[in-house]
Amino acid sequence: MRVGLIAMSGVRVQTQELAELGVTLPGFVDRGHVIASLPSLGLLTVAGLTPPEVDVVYREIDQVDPAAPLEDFDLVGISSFTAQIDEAYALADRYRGQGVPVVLGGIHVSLLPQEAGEHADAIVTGGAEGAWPRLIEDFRRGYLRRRYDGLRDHVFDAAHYGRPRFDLLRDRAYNRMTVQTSRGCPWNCEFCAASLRITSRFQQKPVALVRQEIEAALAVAQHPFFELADDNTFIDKRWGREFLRAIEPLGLRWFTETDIQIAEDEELLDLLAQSGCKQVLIGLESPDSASLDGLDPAGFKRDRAGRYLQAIDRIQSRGVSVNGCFVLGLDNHTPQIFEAVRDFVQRSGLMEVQVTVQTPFPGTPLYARLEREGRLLRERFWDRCTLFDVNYVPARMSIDELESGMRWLFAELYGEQAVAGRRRGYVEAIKERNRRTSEAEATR
Amino acid sequence: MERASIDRVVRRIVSQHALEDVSELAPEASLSALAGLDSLSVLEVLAGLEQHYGFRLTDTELATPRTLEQLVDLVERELAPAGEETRCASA
Repeated sequence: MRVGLIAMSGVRVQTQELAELGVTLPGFVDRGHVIASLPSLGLLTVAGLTPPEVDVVYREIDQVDPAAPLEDFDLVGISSFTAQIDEAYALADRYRGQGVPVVLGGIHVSLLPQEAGEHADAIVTGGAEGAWPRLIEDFRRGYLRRRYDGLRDHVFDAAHYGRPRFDLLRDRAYNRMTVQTSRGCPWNCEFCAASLRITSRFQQKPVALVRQEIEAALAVAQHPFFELADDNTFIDKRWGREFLRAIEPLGLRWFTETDIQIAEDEELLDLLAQSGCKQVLIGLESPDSASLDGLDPAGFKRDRAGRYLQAIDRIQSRGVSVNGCFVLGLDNHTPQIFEAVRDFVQRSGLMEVQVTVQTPFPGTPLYARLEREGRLLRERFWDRCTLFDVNYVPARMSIDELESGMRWLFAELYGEQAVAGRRRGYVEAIKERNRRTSEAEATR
Repeated sequence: MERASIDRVVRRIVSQHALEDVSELAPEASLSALAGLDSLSVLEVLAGLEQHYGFRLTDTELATPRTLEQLVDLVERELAPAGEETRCASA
């Protein structure tokens, strides 16, 4: 039995002016290339949940030649983000047209199971844990149910956990690897379309399992840069310290996403730098408290915005760069937001910055609210869920103001001069870190 | 300062960031091909060179070095007395 797992990757901005601008901005395209070059951890985990006697093949969509005959499989599993879901459906339809059963999974499929079911013999919702092993068992018995609901809790318990099959990546050179240490995030921001939508609560993977996965990834890629596929790694600070101490001896270079609270723990920050963390991505969303009101139910981000500058400084002084993320078009945003973000980025010394437009992904509270308020521009716009295309009517500016303001801000933040300024900022932070290290060594 | 001496310092600082031995590496070897040396690491190497020699590179200089040889050229140029001709960094 041969199972093909196919990952969709690569997102294309649909708005022409933005697409044209994007390719000319160095700071803008780099991150896009990095994201597109990451293997699909979800499908590698599905492979890990497959019984060892089943032959599993991992493919990325760029390895599937649309003009060539389809690769021969007994069963095909496809995972996709919202923006590429129509391409995933087209591929699924092609395989099914040739009599090959197709299973669809991933966050979009979990949020819109009915739609996905029209293009699949079976769908997997939630995590693959608790679903995929049953599906394979059924398939070997000669049938498939229409839907398999995966676990939303206890996904890392020994009974359900599947170690990602990094060995399937051996035939392709990857210089970046992903490992997941947690699923979900307690802050539940209105727009979030990440793993919290397929979990019932924050899930933390035991440190020993994470370390084993990292070692498995190191066995197939030479000195890769690690990207943790988490939405908020350091919710549990005690776990965080244990994790950082466990990976320090491995000599890694790595990146993750977390929240601004990390800056409140000096010990954790020191361990972060010592463990080889090069960058933390933090969703700042907006530079001022007022526009963050109502974004998350606990007001976590609103209450901390006033301390963003000190927090960024504290993290970056360790030589760990902060990739500050901003979401444009929040309901409290007026056309003044673009200059406000530009000024904040300049004042903060952020070494990396990511600016996106608020995106109502289907299945999110934001989508439901905008639909209720009659503010969605189209009924179905999945290929425009790129984080750069505007799909709704903003509350306090016109669509044109949002689009043109975003283009202006992109040029301000990702042009040669701005990138050079951030490069200089990083060099200065590293020099500061080196000075601290020398002083600490001298006093030992 | 002798080029050979600069070369030794450059290799020492690069080796602190690369995950492989660079002592025998060809001067024209690409920095990005070295294990563990991504764009952030190259900036860390440049920070190390600024601290070691006490000069400050321009924005353009921070963006350009792509080989060991270009790093040595860069340091040599920075250390040259004003007006003295030095090798140009290869393209």
